[in-house]
Amino acid sequence: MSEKEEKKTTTASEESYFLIVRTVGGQEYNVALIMKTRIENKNLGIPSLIILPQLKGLIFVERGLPHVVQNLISGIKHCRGMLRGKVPLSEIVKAISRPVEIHVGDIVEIVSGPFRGYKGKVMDIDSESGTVTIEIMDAASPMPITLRIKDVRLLERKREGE
Amino acid sequence: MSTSARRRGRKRALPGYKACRNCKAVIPETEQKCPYCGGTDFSEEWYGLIIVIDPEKSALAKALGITRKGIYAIDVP
Ligand SMILES: [Zn+2]
Repeated sequence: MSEKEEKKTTTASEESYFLIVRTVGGQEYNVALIMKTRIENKNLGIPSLIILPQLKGLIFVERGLPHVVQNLISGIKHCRGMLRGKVPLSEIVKAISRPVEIHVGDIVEIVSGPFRGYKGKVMDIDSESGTVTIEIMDAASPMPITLRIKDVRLLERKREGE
Repeated sequence: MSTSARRRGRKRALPGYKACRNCKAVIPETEQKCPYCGGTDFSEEWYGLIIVIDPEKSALAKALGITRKGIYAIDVP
């Protein structure tokens, strides 16, 4: 990435990057809860913390200033300090909406939103925007709707030759 | 559920807490009803955590459509 590009990216994500705190593997949940309490008590202005299920021993701290985060974690048992660098919001969101285990033709159940509980057939998947278009099965007439991939749950794999 | 978790070698994320299958809120196991959505369907197996401290100021909460402060699981299998 050129210096110019890098600068542009930094500006664009000025309000939405994450610092990374490392913990002993398996202790990230306990450490995050202690951090939450400290953030609230001391009004540190950190709006969220996140632990990704696929990354053991890491806590992502939204919009934390390095010295604030350093202070925040000092003395917490099982905490192993900060990693260098920061992660943009888009990377975090991508990691959360990861389950692309769904394919066109699969039968899915909608798990959130106004259509929760309905079943549908997957017509199209847009992994870039993290959305899936499904046709609701129980509707009187076929009704295609577009949802976030994480709002559906796989019920049945498409049968071969279908 | 716990059997399959053990088979996959995944330890429970945070003993003493369960996740609401409806809204994914993570709450103490002793709660009978989800204080967020009123749901009563819970899972002891859950992974990943989103701690929203200030939903107004959190770009993450906005991106995920979370409007209330709280603790949420990411995966509730
Ligand atoms: Zn709930």
